[in-house]
Amino acid sequence: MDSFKTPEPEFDVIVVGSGISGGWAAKEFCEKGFKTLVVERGRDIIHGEDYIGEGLAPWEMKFRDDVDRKLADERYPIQKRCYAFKDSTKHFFADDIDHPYSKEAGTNFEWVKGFHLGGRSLLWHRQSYRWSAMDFESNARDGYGTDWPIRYDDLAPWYDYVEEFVGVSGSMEGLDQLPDGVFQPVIGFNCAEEEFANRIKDLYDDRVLIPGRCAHLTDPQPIHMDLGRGTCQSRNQCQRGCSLGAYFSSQSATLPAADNTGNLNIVTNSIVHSVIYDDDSGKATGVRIIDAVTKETKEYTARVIFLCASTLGTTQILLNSASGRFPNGFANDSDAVGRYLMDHLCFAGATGEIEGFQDHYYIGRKPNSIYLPRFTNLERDEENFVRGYAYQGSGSRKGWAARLGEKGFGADFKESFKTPGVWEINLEGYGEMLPDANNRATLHANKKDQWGMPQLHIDAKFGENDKQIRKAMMGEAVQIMARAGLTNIQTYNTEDSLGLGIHEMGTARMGRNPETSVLNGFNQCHAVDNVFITDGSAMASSACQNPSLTYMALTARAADYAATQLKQGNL
Amino acid sequence: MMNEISRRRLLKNIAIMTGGALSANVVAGVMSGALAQESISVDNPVFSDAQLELVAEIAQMIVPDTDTPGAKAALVHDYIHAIVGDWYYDNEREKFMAGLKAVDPSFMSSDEAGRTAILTALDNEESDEKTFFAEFKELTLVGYFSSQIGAEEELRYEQYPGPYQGCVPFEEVGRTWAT
Repeated sequence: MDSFKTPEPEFDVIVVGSGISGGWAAKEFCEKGFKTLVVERGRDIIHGEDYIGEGLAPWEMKFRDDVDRKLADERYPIQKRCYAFKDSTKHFFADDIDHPYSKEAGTNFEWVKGFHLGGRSLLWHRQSYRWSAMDFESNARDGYGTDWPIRYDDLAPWYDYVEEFVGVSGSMEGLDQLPDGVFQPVIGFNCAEEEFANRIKDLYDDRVLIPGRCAHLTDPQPIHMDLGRGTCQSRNQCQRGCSLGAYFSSQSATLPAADNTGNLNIVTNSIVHSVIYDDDSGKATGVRIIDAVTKETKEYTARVIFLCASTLGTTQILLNSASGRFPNGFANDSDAVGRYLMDHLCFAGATGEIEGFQDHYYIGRKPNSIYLPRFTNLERDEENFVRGYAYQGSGSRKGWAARLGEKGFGADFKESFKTPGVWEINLEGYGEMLPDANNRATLHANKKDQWGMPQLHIDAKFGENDKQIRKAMMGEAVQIMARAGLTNIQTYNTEDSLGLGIHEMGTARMGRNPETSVLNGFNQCHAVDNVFITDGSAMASSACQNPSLTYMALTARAADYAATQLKQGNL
Repeated sequence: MMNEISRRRLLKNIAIMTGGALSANVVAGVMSGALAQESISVDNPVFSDAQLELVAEIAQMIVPDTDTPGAKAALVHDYIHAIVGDWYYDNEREKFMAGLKAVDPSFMSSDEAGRTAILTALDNEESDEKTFFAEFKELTLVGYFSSQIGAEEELRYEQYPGPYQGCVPFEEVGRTWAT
């Protein structure tokens, strides 16, 4: 009977995707001794060498780091709305024409895509905040969304673990709603930010302005330097690529750590078509891929599969992996796959001017934000909305770009630009978006991409609670600034911005009940125990903190669990 | 002589070797050298020689030579040419060209006082839409302050500023950061 035996899988683990989550999965499994294959849909990006925009001065680019507008309009109509889309970074954004998706009429979810090795770990804004106990309890508390199967204490040691390796600069604040972590020395306030923070401290008992927490090395330790990582130089051009390795990315940190073990295998230009399900064993046996260049198909096999293809990438794969057992998509007994799509509520806030400090300035393009942690609905719901929001922002002196419309010309006019203008503070809200079953990604019935993959069709919009939070983010920013004595306060609220928070999540949510959720408390599919999902799709709620750090902690925890199960022969 | 690419490569290597502790002096030493704006290619030239000269002279009036070179040395006219020729859509280009053609024909033959009078009149035009001169001035300022002369000589620019210092006496910097 030996000839009928299923052949041994080629790999212990397949990790689909190489961004923030995939990089962590690869590192953890490789370091635990498992032969690991990372499958990346896009091209290879070599650390340093392929950062072709790094170090370019404005005058070395024809349009001074703006993307040639005709190219942007023709090929990147969606990507061009991302703040980081520049001439020096555009090669890290997927061409919208080559990589189409569909939108329901009357909706406009903007999907920012980084389809290459490292994914959007090369584009992220590196703000790194823990979720709090409140955030994991909120669904149970107010009934929106399904209860998280884990609590803060389950994840706390994994936050410790990933923060140390990533290198997160920050300050200890002792806040319940924003737990402290393992921090590198903080990248602190400038003069105006410190003054603003002091005024807020005097005015409010319930809110505090703190330095942002961001994934920059300010004091590299051996765990970082061994990988060739160095100190942040305040270039604040992280999305061009940071060959200093001060900026955490898959290229700078997780992939080289994985590679050092000798267990890492990477295939690029390999678009996962589907997860292969075996009816007899009730397990996944591997993935089917399409070669992005030759369009040939191929299969890879493994004992465990980690889907880390980004929220919408993973959703597309799951929905495209329908089988007799799973007619509605892989592991989709609950019909939750593709539903509950969330982003953060962004692009609403205010700017204001703060007097003083005309004889002071700063050195460096500050690579960090300021942060005003959530202060609404902490203990009980007291607003006309549930959940809450935080503020990020900055203080800076106005430069020439703020004065383009002024009257004048000539020698004195030219000379006047040598002196910077007033200090300006920006507060931009980051709000929690509620999970809603109607905010949904499905496969389009007819439209396919050039590889024959059904296109994702996205139908999502802000709900009433979301809109109330957006209003509050703008209105409260004005109140805070006015009370703190700022002047010339200007507001903004870009309603057409769903997706542009680039924190899309929730489409394969964790939960306690297999009938209403896709994943259990270890990011393991309820229905198929050797498939785990640890990108943003696993999130049962969005909180208001930037999510990447939580994806990393969830990934490391899930990998540890899966590794134990593998060793015990349970998978 | 090292070209810019190899300078950058060297900088990267220095930074990595030193664990990133890169002093401003090291950077200044590597990056020093005469500043000359590299030429700007225009794929779709739309200015005649006379128009290009007119653009250069108007830009120079907006940002003249002072203790630092002005718009002409920074090739702001070539930058404007690239924007108008390559960046603008047809309707925008037509509007700009119409505005350029409407500049008082005596501008080129006028002395500085005459030129100042012509531009002052344009600068004081009020309109609901952005006027030709407002557009021209905006392009001039962007082109100048993003040029090497504008950024490094007139203002200040550091590719590698070093660890962030959030509150230093202004004299330590001395001039507005270009970016």
